[in-house]
Amino acid sequence: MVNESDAIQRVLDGDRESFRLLVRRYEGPVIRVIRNMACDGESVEDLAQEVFLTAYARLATFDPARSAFSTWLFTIARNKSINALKKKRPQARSRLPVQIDSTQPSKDSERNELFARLDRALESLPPRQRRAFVLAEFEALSYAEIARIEATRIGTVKSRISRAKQKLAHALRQYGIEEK
Amino acid sequence: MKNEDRYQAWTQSRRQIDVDRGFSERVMNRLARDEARRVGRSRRWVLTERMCTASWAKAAAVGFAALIGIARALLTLHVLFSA
Repeated sequence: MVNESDAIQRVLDGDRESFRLLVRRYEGPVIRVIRNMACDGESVEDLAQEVFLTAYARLATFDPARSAFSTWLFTIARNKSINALKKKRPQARSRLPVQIDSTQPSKDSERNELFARLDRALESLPPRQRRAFVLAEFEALSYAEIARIEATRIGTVKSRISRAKQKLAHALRQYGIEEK
Repeated sequence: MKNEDRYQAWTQSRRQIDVDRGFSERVMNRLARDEARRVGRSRRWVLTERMCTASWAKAAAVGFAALIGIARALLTLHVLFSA
């Protein structure tokens, strides 16, 4: 089986087909990062494709001594997400709340409402906090990796994640669920 | 269910994604298309560059422009004297 660095070298040597291996390996994480950082819906795939096209075009600039390939790829995904958010028209935040039939309280609808509330809390985070939170919580990246992607200090990353978590905890409390 | 469990369930749901099976194929197709376009563009660029640098190409361009100029002058004279 071809490993990652071999695949990268082969692509650099002109074997385009080897890039398919890298796409297959990272399509999930890249799509997830974009979905959680920037948007939902059909534009996620377009953005993810852009990430891989950019990675292919700039592969010669990837330096394995500086970072892992995944970190480098997430940096591209992060930059694309920022640009997409800039282009995107501000979404109406006043989405209708999920309706719950109080006469027949169901666990599913309660769970859906809570998830929708947390989704909105995530969307309303300042972009820097949201990105740091997404990379830490959903991608399980280390603080050092996130700091490299965000081009900032580890302390700043920690503080952004902590603030993001506080806001999400606040959203949970507002929902009326206090930790026992 | 405690808040922590609810939170974990939510993060789990955000981690789950369905990657379309054809995604990598679409990326590879776009790469092939982009590369073909790039090659076409670079061929056009080579032709333009040759036109700008090769002396025979310069002479041909000047000659062509001179011919057009003479033709236009003759046409103007013809219009003037035939009136």
